[in-house]
Amino acid sequence: VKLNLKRGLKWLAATAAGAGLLLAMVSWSGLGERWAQRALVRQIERMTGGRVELKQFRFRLSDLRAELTDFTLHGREAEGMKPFFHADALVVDVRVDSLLGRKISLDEVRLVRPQVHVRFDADGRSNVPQPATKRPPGRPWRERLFTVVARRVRLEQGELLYNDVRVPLVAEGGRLDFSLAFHAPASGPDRYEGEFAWQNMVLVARRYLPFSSSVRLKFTLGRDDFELTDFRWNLPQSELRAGARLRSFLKPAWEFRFGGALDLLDLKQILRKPNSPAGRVDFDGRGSWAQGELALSGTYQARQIAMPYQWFHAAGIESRGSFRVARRRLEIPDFEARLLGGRVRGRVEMQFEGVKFRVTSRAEGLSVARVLAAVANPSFPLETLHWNGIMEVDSVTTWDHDFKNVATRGLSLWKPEGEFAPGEIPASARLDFDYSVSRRSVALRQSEVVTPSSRLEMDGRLGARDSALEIRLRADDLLPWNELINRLRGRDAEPKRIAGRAEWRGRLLGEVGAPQFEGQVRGSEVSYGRLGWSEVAGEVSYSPAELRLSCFRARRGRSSAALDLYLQLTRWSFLPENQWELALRFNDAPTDELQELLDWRYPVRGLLTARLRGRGTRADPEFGGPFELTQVEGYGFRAESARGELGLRTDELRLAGVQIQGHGGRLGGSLLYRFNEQEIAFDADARDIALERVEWLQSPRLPLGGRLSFRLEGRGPLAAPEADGTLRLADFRAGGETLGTLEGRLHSRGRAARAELRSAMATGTLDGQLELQLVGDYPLRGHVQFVDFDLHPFVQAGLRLKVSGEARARGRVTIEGPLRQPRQLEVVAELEKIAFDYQTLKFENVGPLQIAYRNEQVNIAQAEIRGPETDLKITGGIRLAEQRALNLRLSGSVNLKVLSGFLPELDARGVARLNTAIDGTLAQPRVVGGIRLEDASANYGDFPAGLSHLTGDFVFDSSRLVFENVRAEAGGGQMVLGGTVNYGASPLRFDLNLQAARVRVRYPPGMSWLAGGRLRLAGTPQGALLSGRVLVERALLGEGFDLGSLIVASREGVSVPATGSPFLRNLQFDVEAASVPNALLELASGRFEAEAQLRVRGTWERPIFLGHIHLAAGEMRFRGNRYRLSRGDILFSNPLLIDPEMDIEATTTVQQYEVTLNFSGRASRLSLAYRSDPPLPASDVIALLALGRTGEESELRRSGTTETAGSGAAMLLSEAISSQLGGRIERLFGISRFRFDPLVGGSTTSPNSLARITIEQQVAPDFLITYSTDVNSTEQQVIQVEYNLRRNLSIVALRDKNGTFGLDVKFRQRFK
Amino acid sequence: VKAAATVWLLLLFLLARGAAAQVVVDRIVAKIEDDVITLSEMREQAQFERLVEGKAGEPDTLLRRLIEQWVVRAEIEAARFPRPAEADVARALQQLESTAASPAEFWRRAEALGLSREAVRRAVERQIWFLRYVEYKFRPTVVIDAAQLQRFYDQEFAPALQREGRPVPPLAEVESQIQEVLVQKEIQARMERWLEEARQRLRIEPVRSAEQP
Repeated sequence: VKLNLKRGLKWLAATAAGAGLLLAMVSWSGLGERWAQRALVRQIERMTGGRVELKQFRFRLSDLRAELTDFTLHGREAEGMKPFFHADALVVDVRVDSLLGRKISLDEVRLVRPQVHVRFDADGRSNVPQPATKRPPGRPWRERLFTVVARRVRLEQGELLYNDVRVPLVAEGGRLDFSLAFHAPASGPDRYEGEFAWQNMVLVARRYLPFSSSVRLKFTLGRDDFELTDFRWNLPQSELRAGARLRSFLKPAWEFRFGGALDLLDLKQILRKPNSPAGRVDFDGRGSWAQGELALSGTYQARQIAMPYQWFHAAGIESRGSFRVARRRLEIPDFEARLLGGRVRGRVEMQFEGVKFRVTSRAEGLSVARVLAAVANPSFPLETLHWNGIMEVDSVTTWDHDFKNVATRGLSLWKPEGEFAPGEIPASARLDFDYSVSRRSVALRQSEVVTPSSRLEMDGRLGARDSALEIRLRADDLLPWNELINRLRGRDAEPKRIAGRAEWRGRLLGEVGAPQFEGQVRGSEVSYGRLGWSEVAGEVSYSPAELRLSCFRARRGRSSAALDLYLQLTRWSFLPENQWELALRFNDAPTDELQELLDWRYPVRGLLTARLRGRGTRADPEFGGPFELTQVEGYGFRAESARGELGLRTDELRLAGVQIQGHGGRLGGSLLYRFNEQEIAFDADARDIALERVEWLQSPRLPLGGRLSFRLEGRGPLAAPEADGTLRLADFRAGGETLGTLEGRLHSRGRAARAELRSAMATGTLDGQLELQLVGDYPLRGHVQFVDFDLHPFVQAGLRLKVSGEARARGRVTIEGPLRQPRQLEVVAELEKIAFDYQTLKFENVGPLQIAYRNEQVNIAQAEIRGPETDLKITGGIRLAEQRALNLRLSGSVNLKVLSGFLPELDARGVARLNTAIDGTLAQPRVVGGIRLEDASANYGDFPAGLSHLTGDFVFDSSRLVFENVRAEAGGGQMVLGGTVNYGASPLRFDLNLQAARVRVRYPPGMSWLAGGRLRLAGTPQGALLSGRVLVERALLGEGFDLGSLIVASREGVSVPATGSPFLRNLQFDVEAASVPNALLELASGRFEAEAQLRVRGTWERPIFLGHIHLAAGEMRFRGNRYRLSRGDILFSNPLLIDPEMDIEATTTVQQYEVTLNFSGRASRLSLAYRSDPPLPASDVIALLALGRTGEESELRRSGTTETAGSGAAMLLSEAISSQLGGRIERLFGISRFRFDPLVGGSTTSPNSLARITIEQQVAPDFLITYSTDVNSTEQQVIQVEYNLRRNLSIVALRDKNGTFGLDVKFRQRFK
Repeated sequence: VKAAATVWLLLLFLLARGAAAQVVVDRIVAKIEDDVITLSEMREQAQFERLVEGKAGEPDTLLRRLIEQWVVRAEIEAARFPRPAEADVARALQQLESTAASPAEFWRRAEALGLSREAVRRAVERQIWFLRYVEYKFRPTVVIDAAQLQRFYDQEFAPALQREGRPVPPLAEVESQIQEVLVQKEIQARMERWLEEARQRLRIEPVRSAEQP
């Protein structure tokens, strides 16, 4: 067995080796491939029934690849015709799935230039090969011809020809299953049955994006028919289903059905059209194609369509409809779409001939806002207008092919209806449009858009090349246009607020891409950002090449600017190299308004007249011209005028021939400044500038005066120019006193400047010099020395002394330190002598007085002042920084008169001995020590009582001044003063009391009271209360004090003359005053016994009395009559003003009449009753009292047109007014004899109906002329002359208004 | 002598012819800014003064008035101040007519002076218009305080009445009238100041010395 096995193995190995050798020989010799080629050809011919040509067959065993070169399968075509199938190469990779199981498969199949040619002749014969069958007769027979499964298939550069129709055949894909069987039924024609499925097939066609899809289909192909039973094509997002049947190739008539869902995203990607709509369309239908005629019918429904075009972008569009194609014409008769809040219905037609479309549509209920948003784009952001409403559009639109030659015309109507979101503006419109792509224009006929605040009218043509559109835009409010204008200005531009009213009337011309706007613009109350004009108007021309403003005027208030402007533009932009020209004119324009107009902020005011011109390029502008400024105010200066020539260029500013006149002097000069080099050249020459009129130099305390002249020239770097100048201040006055003349010189050379000062004073001298380094912190060093320098004005201002006198000083002041650091400056004043001589105050220093300022601290090294009754030593210092700490020592004696220097109303005399130390801060000083007065006196302004023999101690205890044992005499009585003044906290507070006996007080003016009691004064200097109780023994009303006047004046409340003292003005009263029994009230013209119980409230200037006064008896003289007081009561009950209730009766005798007057009622409405014995009429009683005679002769006055008492005043004032008016008329028109009131008029048809003037003149005691005239008529004049011959006889001559003269003789006789 | 007389007569004849030939129809008497004042305007002003006043101002005075009228008119037109109503002008004309014995007499005089109805009406309208504008311009800016009222009352009003022996009403009674007097005075002062300043500010060039028109 072993031997056999071994022998068997050897045999097997030899056999294998022999077989291998055989195979190698076969392969090497090519015998195998030829054998395989023949076998393959035979097999294919058997399967297809066609004839096969194969140029070469190669099989590589190494990679199991079979290559067929020039493979041709001939069908039943005639000789010379294209074969049924041909491929330049067919490469098949074979994979051995199982060697043992003998299972192999195709891994990849590649066909190079495959060409399939299917042709059907007119007799129905085709070139499709027919396999030879071994069909059993009479029986159905079916044979699977082949089943091909390949994992990967590539068709390269292939094509399918069906008769003459060429279809590219280029694809590659994944698994391909193709099986074909031949079926011969028992009866009927035999046919092929095939199934084809190809997954992940990638079709490559033209320029389209290769896309992956899967296709699956089943078909049957008979001798004369073809049926596609199930065709499905799945694209990435879409699916297409179809079935088709061709009943006879002889009469090719296709019937087909189709359906599917098309996602437009697939088209977008495959057709490489990113800007195509998105959405999904479901469709189905059926149709036929026969004899070149296509017939289709079906329905479609589109959902969520989004249009992405720049001029139309909207989403959420829905559409549906049914379509039919017949006779080379497509119709959608019921086209419907829902979009933009509304609905579009219409009819779509397309002729295949020329692919011409026509859409007749009507849109309803479209939202204007959504339509504007859909057509808005960055270059035309219509949505920013926020218009809304309901839109209707009737239109007919035509185009051909792929939206070529689009033309649409129709009418769009907007109605301001529907719901409006906040901020939306109702808009209505009528747009009659005709748009044509071929003409490249849209015509708008009599179209308009109207909103509540604007109206836009258009008429004409807007064309790509030749626009001619008349536009009129009127906007009552520009605010709603703000957003649009700001967006058009560009997203980078800072948004501006644009408001006001504007109107544009003009036209748009030229190419729409580069339009030219021409027209007039007019605006009122227009504002642009912070700029504002009450009116702007002018001609505007605006195009990509230029902006031109002609005759343009801007007005604001009384300012107006006229300008002509030309800007060369390059495609709308003003580039640095573009030219420009400007002419700007102002006439007496107030600079305040002008600055607001131009958004400038310079602290200069005046009236500007200027003719400025500019030109050049943007990069190199040139601007300037003559200007004149009048009534100039600025920087504390006033000037009558300033004129000159301004020149401004990129690199320099030039002011030439500047002449400023003002302050009684003039300043001339010029300035040149070069920006880049920072170099300056200037000269200034001023003559006789009055310091009095330089406001910022003035202060009420220390007014300065003099005539300033200076000359200054310089040039060089701005930081360190070389300059020379002189200064002269002639008649320098301080505080009304002429000090003399000051002269100075200035030299500046580079980094150093030196100033010298000399004086020519009336008395004394002052000179000095200063050196300033123009580097670093500007170190300053210098000194001023003075001899007999007049300090009076400075003493008055600094110490607020208000007395005349003189003060002189001799000494030296040195200054050193950095000018930029004022705190580090050191100033030392060494006064050898300082003397004050003010009336009775005479002081001077003993020994040198040194005051130094260092580090914000003023130190008085030593100061001793001596004078009559005064010897005061002062040492210490004041810190000027932080809380301003004090550290002063005062000791010695002071003449109290010095106080009157500070308080002019205080007349204080005597000597105060003091020894005090002051520390704390300037705001809250603390004083320790005391002042003692002996036999001093004090009187204060209007205060009704003065103090004499004032003696006592005033003790400071840190924050209070305590009155200790202070006694004085006032008004002849004794007073004891006590209390405290608290000065430690601000404000100063006091609480003083006094006890007085029989003190005489004069208040109010003209009255004198003898009274005593206790009073308390408490409060602050800003508000104090005087309270207490006084007992009045006697009141005296002096000469000039008129009780009648007081009573009459009390209608307005009794008031006393205003006081200049703030303290008295704020002083309030709460004083109880009572009279002793039978106290006397004395008047210059009489005296009464009175009893009073009053309370005085109110203020110094407006006192209030409450209580009553009873007048017991007395008498007085009044207007020459002597009155006896019968009774009298005066009750003060009004707590707001003095308006006493009076009941006073007095009797007098005139001639033989006893006249009794009774005043009763409140003083403000006092009624006066007269009676006489014997009785007389009231008017006669008045005349009797006033004139000493009865009043019969007053008839004319009483019955006249004016009241006699007031006629004089009225006439005087009327004359005064008339005189002013007349002066005006005379000045302007040279007319003095004819006047009328220019303000009379209006609705009154009879002006001056009341303008009757009556003039009465008492020529002599018994001769009276009365003249009365109506200003409207020279004829209505009344002249009356009255002459009283005797008391009861008079002659009256009268010319009445009709010109008639009359004469009356009057005789009066009184009968008892 | 005869020859000399002949020469003189011939000379006089020629001068007369020359003078007759140089009838001045109109000419510019002054330039103001970009505007002019003509002799005819000056003549019209003079004749209106003669009509109303009986005499006319000197040429320089007339020119000054016309310049000041120009100032007012320039500002009125710039301010677009409304013209007076026709009824107001008619009323003023009626008042003006009443200065004569009868309206007919008035117009006869006007015609004799070479003034048409329209010229008179224009002058009256201008007068109302300008005066109203002056009021409008200055009145709002005038503020009278109590101290001024009191000063006028004390220093001018009361002494004037007292000199005539008339009663002096209290200030409260005449306060409003005094206020008006002071306002008018201030308006007058301001107007004069304004006109003076304007005259200095404006570019005014008399073309030649104005003749008596």
